[in-house]
Amino acid sequence: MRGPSRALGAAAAVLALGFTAACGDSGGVGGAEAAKQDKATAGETVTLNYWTWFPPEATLKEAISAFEKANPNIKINLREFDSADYQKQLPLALNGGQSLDLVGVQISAMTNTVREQLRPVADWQDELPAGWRSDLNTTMVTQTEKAAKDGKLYSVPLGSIGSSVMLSNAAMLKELGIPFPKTADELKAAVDKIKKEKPGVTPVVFTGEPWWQEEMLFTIAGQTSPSLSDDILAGRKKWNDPALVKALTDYKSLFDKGIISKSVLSLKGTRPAEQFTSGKAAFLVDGSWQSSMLSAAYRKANKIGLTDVGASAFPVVESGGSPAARGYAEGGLAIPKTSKHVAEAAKFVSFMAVGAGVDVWSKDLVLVPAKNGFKPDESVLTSQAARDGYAAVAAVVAGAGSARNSNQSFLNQVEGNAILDVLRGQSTPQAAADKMQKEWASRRYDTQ
Amino acid sequence: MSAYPTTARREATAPRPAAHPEPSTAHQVGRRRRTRRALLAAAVFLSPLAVFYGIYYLYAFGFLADMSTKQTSLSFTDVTDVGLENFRLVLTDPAFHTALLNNLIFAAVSIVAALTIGFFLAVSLASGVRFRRLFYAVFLLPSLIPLSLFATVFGRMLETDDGAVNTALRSMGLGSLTQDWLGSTGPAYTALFVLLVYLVGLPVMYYTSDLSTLNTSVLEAAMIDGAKAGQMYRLILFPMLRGTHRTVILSVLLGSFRAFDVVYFSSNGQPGGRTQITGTYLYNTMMGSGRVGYASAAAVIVLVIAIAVSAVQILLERRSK
Amino acid sequence: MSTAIDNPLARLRQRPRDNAAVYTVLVIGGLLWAFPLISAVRQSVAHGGFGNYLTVLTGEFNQVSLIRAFGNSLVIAALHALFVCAVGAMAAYAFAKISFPGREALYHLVLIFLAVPAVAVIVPVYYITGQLGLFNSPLGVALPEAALTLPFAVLLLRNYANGIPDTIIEAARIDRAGHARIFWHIFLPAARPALVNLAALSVMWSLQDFVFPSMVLKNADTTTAAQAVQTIQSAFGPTPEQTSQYFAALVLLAVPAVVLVVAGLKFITQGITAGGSKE
Repeated sequence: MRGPSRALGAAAAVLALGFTAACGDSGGVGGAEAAKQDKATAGETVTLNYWTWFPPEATLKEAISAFEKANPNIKINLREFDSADYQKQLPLALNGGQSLDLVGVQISAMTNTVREQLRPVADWQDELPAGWRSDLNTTMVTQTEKAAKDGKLYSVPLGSIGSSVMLSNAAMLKELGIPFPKTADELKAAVDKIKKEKPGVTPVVFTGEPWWQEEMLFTIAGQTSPSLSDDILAGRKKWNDPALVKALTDYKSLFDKGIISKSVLSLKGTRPAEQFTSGKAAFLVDGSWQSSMLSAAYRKANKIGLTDVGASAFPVVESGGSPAARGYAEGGLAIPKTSKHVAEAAKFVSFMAVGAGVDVWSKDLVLVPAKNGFKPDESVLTSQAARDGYAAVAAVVAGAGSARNSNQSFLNQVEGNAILDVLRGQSTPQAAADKMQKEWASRRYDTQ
Repeated sequence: MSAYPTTARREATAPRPAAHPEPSTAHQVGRRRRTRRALLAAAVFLSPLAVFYGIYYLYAFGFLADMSTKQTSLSFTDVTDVGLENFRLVLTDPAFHTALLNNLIFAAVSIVAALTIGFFLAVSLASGVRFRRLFYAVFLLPSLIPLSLFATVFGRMLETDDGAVNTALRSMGLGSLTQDWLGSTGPAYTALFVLLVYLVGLPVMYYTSDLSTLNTSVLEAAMIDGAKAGQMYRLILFPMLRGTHRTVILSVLLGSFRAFDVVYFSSNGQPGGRTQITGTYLYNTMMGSGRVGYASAAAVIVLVIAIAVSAVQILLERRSK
Repeated sequence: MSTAIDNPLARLRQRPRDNAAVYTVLVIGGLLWAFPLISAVRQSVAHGGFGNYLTVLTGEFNQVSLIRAFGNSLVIAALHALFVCAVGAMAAYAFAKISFPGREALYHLVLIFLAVPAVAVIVPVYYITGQLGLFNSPLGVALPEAALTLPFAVLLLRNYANGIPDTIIEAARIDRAGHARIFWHIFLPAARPALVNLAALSVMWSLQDFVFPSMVLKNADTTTAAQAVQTIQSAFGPTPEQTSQYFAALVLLAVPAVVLVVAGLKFITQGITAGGSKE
């Protein structure tokens, strides 16, 4: 009969297609072993697969093309991810045997979830230039080591970042005659003026996602108790410590006083930055990695229409407090076990961490570089507001009282949501703090 | 919850082979040989199914049961045994209770929407209105495209400042109704209920098919007796489709356990994890953290419940035959 | 469906007032139902006009190309349908046309797994996929998808098979034909309508699947359309123009599913309602 045989032919074709496309990867499931190295013959191009979430694509592409020019037989294939998504995607991919040569590692958030699939730096440091370690800021390297459960160095930090800091539309502030607010009261005055003069502008924006709430909370807490975050995460203090309850109350007060509008809490992803760059918001609260907006060249390259941008630490809420942020080494570059081109990958790592690459990416001001004695080219800061802003951000990050650390699953499931409940008026600060402490003590979120 | 069509109409027990009247010894031997051959043939035809089931159900469940007593990360190395600790942690997690409760709530809402809106739409479309195909396509579309997509679009619509819902409300002069939809429990649930109503397409399909085979003489008699349209809907049609109602209810109930995309891409549990369902709970627990053992224990519990519901459904079907 | 001439349900709209009510509800309902997609289209052209669609169609976002994503979705959907139909047909034949002891009990055992959610088995599926070496492969997605669709397939096909008269089969057996021959030459052609319905349904479900692709497919060039919704999101940065482009991408990702489903709507409907055939 023709029916079945035609169907059979179609089926065979599909199966054939499926099987040829089926050559999939085997797992690193069960513990990957370091992949054998491909010996690169002279003149042959080696392609490196690079996954990361940071620095942003625009910045990295510049660095990569500079590297490729200096190393014509190495090509780099870059893939960028959203920060929160990356925390899920990288472990999933590495454990699935995905062949990658270079990976960015969120030092505090991700080191332990992926370290079993990474080659410890000690294994390939021979490929790095001699004395590389002393070229890097000791604090940052130590922080990177301490992040791992076994205290080994799994990635090379590119620099450090901190949060929260506040960026401003300096041109708008100048137009309205508003000085950069240093305290919550000054911020309120600024917000009121903006609301009056520019009704279509949201004065203060930041992302309403759960994970960011911790940054805001500990920034405010750090203004009066600089080491609170470290103490709580290490178990020396409890989540319902009076200092934390006070910080929650202070954070909520910003909403009650009308400084921040509750509509901000529905912003997700890149929406806050989008509102800021399009002039619909005056202040953007974000991490120091957004300092790139201070650079006029960066704005031009990314078609951001703001004429002038300033920055500073987040305004002090409690009188008697001082500007604070949490900082940590960040932008770790690591080589996974599945890489077959360790030598070439190490070249890129050294380029980015201690080599000529630092000049390239530091122009975008995304990190305080780890390279010792390095001063970023400040010619990109073309206005006084930008220069002041960069200095203020660098100062508050350098003086960070606590490490920018968290327990990711606790943060995403409990902590962020508890803080949001307080802000939305569905819970009191004390009740939320008690709830966080109870969940923390339940050991449900203990990392392995 | 999209009504996963888990219960097509289950026919009565299959026709039995013709019985042989006189059991003499020769016949008995012949019967045994036939039985053996039948078993062999059945085994051959069922073997591919057995392979799939063996790997993706039996082995998988065994794996889950094993992992649930351990603590490990996604690389499955460095495994520590923790006994029943994971189960205790899952069962005492208020977030898990919320997730289970939400499964029921959302299933209930889907069922009510199907039995009212779905029913009405199906009847109206079956009554021969013009542009029937166009209406059909419009009402079914949200259920048929990838839910990840529809839920994402819906989620964006809910944004406080720029979302389409609030913008539309403002332009209609109903500015007082605008709010942060995912910011408080009430509006968030409302938004999700609305999203579930959008997915009423599959129940509509069930009703439509059954309506086409309906015995309409009762309807015609009622018309002659002067019954009003509303009465015909409520008092005649609705009871007549009792069997379909049951199919829809069971189908939606079972589908509620399989739901994931619809919540993950719209609210992802906001506000504060209050709108999460078992699907999002399991997914979020597994991803990104080294709590594979915990995730396995939660999965085991969800599976036990889901299979129990399915078993009850099978028993009910058999009893009603 | 009955024609308009003798459609008794049309009597529900006989009175002009009822007729108007029905049409009003349908039109308003239709507008409400179409609203999300219409608003997505509107936002996609808000900044940048219809050119956004061209940009999005030809570009790569986080290394994901939409066209390649469509292709991947289709390959997986085809594989899925193939497995489901082949394995389901064989199983349905056994359950419907071979009488063996314990058949009913085994059948119900098979059906119990209808309730298993995909999310509940992601941990073992991840491990199994690794052991089988199927990461980044269409098979790695199609196999678990098929496993989860098979209970329904068996249900659907067995119901339909019960409606295939035994007399033909008995006649063939008397002619000493083996089960293999009967299956191939008699059963499959007779079951073709149900198989077509099942294939259409399988394609639709596979196109909708997000969970398995998100775990198994990690390469940007193996991403499927439903998965791309999430993967491309971070590639659209903080400018209004790029937000519009993101919406354009979403609309485009919906198009193939819409086209396929509208084309196969008849089969999908029949499939879901178990081949609505009467006794």
